[in-house]
Amino acid sequence: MTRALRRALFLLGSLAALASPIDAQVCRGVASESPVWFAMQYGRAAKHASVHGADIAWQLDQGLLLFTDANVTMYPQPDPARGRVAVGMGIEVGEFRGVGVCTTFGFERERIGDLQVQRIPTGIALGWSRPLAGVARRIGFTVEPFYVHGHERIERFGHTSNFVSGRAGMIYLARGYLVGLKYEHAFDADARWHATARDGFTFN
Amino acid sequence: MRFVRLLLLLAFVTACGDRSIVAPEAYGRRPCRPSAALVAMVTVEPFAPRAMRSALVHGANAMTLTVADGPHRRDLQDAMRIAASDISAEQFDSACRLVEIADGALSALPDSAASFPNRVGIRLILALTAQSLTTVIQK
Repeated sequence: MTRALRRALFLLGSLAALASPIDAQVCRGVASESPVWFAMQYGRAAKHASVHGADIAWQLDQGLLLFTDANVTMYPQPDPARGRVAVGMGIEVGEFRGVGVCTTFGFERERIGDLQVQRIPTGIALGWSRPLAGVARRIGFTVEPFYVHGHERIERFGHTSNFVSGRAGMIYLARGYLVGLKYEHAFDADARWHATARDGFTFN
Repeated sequence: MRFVRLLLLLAFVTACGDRSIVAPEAYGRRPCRPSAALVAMVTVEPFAPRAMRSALVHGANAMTLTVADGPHRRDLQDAMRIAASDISAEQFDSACRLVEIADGALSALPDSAASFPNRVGIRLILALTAQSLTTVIQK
């Protein structure tokens, strides 16, 4: 990572962290009338892997969104499975031309065989959500580029890595039912990607 | 909220640090595959991974004695010993990563005429082990 990029990220993060929160509720692609949602995930990942998981998000007052996410990536035998647990928060920065903007911050743990990974992803989530014709129907889209600082460890050996990743998604809500698609890609030597379908419920 | 923002700020400060080590490919977040360069060093019929355990332990103990003491030598010794025990436990993904770490540590060792024969011998053991792991790890 270049020094200029580091400075830009630091400046961006500082501005986002110090910005006043505004009640924009769409940075995750869901409307404010659905402050809690739960979804199951099913999908595919690089290297012929399958992904199963679940995520929960909870929007609090003052523009704070909490989310947690867990999934297992199963590779063809004899490769070990990868388990991942993440918790995080989104802080709403504002709403510009109908696009909600949040800074996101999280902590992730992954395990693949004996390799243990801790990561701190920090990013900007952009979300756009609009009601559709009919009762309580809504569609939302999100884009979230993020920067990841990670530490990998196997036995007593450790390694620090930094890379850029991003995810994009679509969410459709109808009468408290949620379906969606999500695609995530890591831009590093691993070039890891996964695409998942989600279905779940929202709660008021 | 102020506390949350402070946490976020601290995270960014932490995230903007950077450092590098030998063998970063050993820490990939996908199943490990032995490096093609290491496997290509040998063209013999592959051994079974278990057949490489004694050679790995011998490499970690006797063959590193002529190498100058230092962190890379200790890394090499530990990585080879743990790789041998992982092969015994049939944890081939971990063994693959540790062979890569051992190869990285070996490459980082100082060059000296006294240690040259043993360094070549250790590299041959690592190459044969990497080749043997390709027979049990899916391509």
